[in-house]
Amino acid sequence: MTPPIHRPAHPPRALSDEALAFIVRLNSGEAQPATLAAFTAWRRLSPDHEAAAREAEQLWGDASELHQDSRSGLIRPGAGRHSGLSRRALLGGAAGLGIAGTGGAWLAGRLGPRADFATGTGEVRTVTLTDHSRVTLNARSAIALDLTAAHRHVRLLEGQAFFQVAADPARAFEVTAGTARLRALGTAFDVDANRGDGSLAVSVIEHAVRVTGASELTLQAGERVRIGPDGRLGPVTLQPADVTLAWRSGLYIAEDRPLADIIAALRPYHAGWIVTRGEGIDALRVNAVLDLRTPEASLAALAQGLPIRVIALSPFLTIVAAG
Amino acid sequence: MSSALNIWLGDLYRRHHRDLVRFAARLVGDRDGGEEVVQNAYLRLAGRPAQAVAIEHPKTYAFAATRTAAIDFTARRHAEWLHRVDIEEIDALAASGDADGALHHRRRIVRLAVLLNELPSACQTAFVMNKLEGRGHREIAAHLGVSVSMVEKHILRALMHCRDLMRDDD
Repeated sequence: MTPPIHRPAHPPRALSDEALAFIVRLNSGEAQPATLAAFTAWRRLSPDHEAAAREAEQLWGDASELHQDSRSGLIRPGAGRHSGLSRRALLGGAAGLGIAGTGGAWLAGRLGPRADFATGTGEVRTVTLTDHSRVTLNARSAIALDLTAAHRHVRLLEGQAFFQVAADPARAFEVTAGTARLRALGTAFDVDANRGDGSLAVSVIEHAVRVTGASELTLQAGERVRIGPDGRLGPVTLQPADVTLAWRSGLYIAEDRPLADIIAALRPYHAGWIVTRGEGIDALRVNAVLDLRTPEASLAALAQGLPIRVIALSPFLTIVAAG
Repeated sequence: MSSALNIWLGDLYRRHHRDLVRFAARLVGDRDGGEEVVQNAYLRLAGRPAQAVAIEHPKTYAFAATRTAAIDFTARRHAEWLHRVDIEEIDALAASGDADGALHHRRRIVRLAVLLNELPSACQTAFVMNKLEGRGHREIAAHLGVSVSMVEKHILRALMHCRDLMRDDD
């Protein structure tokens, strides 16, 4: 069985010609109110007249978004010179975003030579340092190393990393991220700078970590603390290790987390931009297990349970809107 | 590959090659682009599964395919524009949720640009001066050295041309 051929019915050509003639006369630069009145009366004659009038108006309106290239004389899409490349425009194109699909190229431009290890969109990688400590980098994450005979310093430049620190009583292992300083007193902990509100989250898996921000505290295994951009430490909460480290197997486990955090976690897995729009949307509470590797599907799953709409405008831009 | 059809197509494109490239170059603005457009148009037709296509006017058919390829070529050249979204637009889209509509609209604009490049020069000038530069018919008439009613005819013709071809593609 063949599907019915879908053809939008166009108003008769003769009527359309008349409608276009009205549009031309109305834009002569010397049109009288009577011309407009005549057009208004004409379009009321029948639904076909009205359809023809609308088609003509749309054509005329669409042409407003064109300009003539002054050099070649060619008519091109895009209205006028002024809107050529406004600073307020979000570039959707790959060139504008600097998306480079693979490896650390995504970060290279932003972080320059400072990053010793970096991952690209959707890439998770474990690296072994010269002291045999292991660092697992989440997608779009970067670290810079400073390992000497006297100390071990790692700087989390961006993203999220899980540290498994090799024991070395002579050299402390320190991680800095933003304004916070973390000193490993034991072996395994996770540092997450992918937060919706710009804060940092430190979660300890084994033993303890000394956390220094605006104040200091020692975080024990199973505990987690958020550190604000101003260095202020939040209250210590409990979070099981499998929730903290789910990202290493490509999952994100949200237990009563704000939507902003979930979006922030999905972003490094999405080649384009994900932006949120709407009152209160970032604060929506989410309980879900999401697949980080398929961010579009995860967003679609979220939209089923939350009052949000996901609008994929292009491969480069996704809008998460209230409603 | 349906060899008979391809031989016929190859012949058609060879015979009209020069005219097709000239036509395509006018649509996209340069000769190299024109060559590429004509090649793409040919490859697309040749790549189609063998169908019993009754082509009544082979030459028209080749020109129509070239026009379609020119629209694709222009869309690729303006891919950035097709996907660029202004910040104010994000809010409007978030409110309407009609992303498909927005993209469809941008593609219409690309098509319109190509169709207008096809117009004879006086007709195109009249349209550009009136629609894009906002000049009155009388001023355009003086500039072109024709009557005001001729200017009206030129602009109407431009619109009718676009209307017809926009309809074809809907």
